[in-house]
Amino acid sequence: MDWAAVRLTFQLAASTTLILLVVGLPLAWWLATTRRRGRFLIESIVALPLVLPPTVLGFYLLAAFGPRSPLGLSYQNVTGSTLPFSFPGILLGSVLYNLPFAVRPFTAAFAGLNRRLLEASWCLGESRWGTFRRVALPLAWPGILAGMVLTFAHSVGEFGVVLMIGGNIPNVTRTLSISIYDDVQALDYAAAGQSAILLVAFAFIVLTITHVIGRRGFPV
Amino acid sequence: MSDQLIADFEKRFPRGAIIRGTLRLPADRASVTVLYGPSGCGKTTLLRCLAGLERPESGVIEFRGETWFDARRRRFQSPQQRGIGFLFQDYALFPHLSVAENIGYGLRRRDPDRPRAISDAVDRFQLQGVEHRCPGQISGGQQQRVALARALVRRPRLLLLDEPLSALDAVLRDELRLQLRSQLREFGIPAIVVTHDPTEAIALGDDIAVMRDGEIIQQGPVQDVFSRPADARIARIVGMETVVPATIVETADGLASLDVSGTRLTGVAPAAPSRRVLVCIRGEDVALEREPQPGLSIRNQLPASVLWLVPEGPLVRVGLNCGFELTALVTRRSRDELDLAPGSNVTALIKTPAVHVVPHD
Repeated sequence: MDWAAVRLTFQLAASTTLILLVVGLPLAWWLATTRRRGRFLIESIVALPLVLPPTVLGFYLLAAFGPRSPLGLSYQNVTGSTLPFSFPGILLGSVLYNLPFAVRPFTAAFAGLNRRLLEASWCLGESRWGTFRRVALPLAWPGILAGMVLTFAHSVGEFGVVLMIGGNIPNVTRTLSISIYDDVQALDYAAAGQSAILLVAFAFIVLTITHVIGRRGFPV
Repeated sequence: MSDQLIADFEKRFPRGAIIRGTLRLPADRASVTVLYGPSGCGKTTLLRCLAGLERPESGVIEFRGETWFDARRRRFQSPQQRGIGFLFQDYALFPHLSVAENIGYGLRRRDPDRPRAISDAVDRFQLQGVEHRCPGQISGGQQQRVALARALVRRPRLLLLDEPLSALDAVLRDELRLQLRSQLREFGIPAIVVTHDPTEAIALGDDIAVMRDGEIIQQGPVQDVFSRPADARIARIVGMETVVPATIVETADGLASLDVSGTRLTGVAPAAPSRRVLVCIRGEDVALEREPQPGLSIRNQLPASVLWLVPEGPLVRVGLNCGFELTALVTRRSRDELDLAPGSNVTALIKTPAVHVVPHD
């Protein structure tokens, strides 16, 4: 078993989930509550990774990270290192690729809230932020948790984007799914099988957890 | 002037519907104004504009000299700034909070008086024993009281109620109607109640504003508007042509003997004992005959003289004097057969169940 790959995979998945929680919650709240027409455009952009081949996203990111692009250049100026074939590089790719898996469940959870409850809170003198904290978050919590679990599980299984951006560097970018690919290429079926069965067990547990969360909720 | 709620605004919807809110009511004392009209006429939208939950396109809303909304000066106060209480039709109780936490939601957490204010409200609204339950585990009547307590515990300056009793079943509604009026009285703040139920309007309201197609078409004291609608359109909307004050002389076997300015009437006694009542009779429930009909079982047979006649399509609206003013709705044919004209003498027949007795202390 490639324990370095296991550690790296879970580090990548945890960081991706955390970042998407911070970025995704406000975005989802905006999508669920705004009445602007531009909403549909943003929704499509968020959903794009669902239908886009990972290699396409990886290709564009690779181009964007390159030393000749503004993003790649400024990153290099600030940190002194480059994004491609690095952990921050695959993390950024993973965040973008998992955007819909976090934002869509979050949005659905917020959109499913009874708007009257938010209005009732405003009429009771509570600010918009206070209402979000005291009413929206606790009531949408099962949906938010489900989105986090889904994001985590999906980034554990991430392959295409990581391979395109990160390649296969042990301890830096070699995640579990890449190590399986690598093991099969090397005809080491025993090692590939071990990693594969670990991922199957993990996926099964995660899906069971999401279903249990989905059942819960408050009687109205 | 400055102790009033003055609203004169327009809210337009993308599909072309326009709601015109033209209201003026005293805001310095306990008074209940009923916003009455058929469903879909814009009552709720008007209420939401007053609360700051909707923003009108033009006009002004002023409360006790404070500007809540002014389209020209681009002033808009949020619901938080207006200091109102809003009772939603479905009550909108927070399902993840207990009854006590719901009631205390609008009070500052650090407020040292908070626990006392909550327990006072629990006592006052008879919620002892359920304060630690969730809203999903209490009855509809209790939910209504929690919602009212939650709004009133903050001592709002104006209370807005959207169909406060419509989520309850009929028996409970009769009971709570009375309670609600006395609760609104007790807190001594102005309230606006939206309803499409005429009995509710009469029972709860001091004043009434009748709405139709997005406009307020008549406003005044409840009795005046019901008994003297400005035109036939309003008469059809209010649907309860005669509303007169009366006193209950005695009740026996569930029937009330009523004194209506000297005339005796029999009606069904109200559930709660109450001496001062309003007697409400629909025009279509009044039949006219030339002579009293001793053979009939109808209890209320009143000698009356015709005051006026207004033709209305196939029907005729007849104003009668039988000690109080009574309106009857008859067909053109009956008018011709009875040879009705101002001054002619007839007998008005009203079945006991058609005499609605509404407590109004």
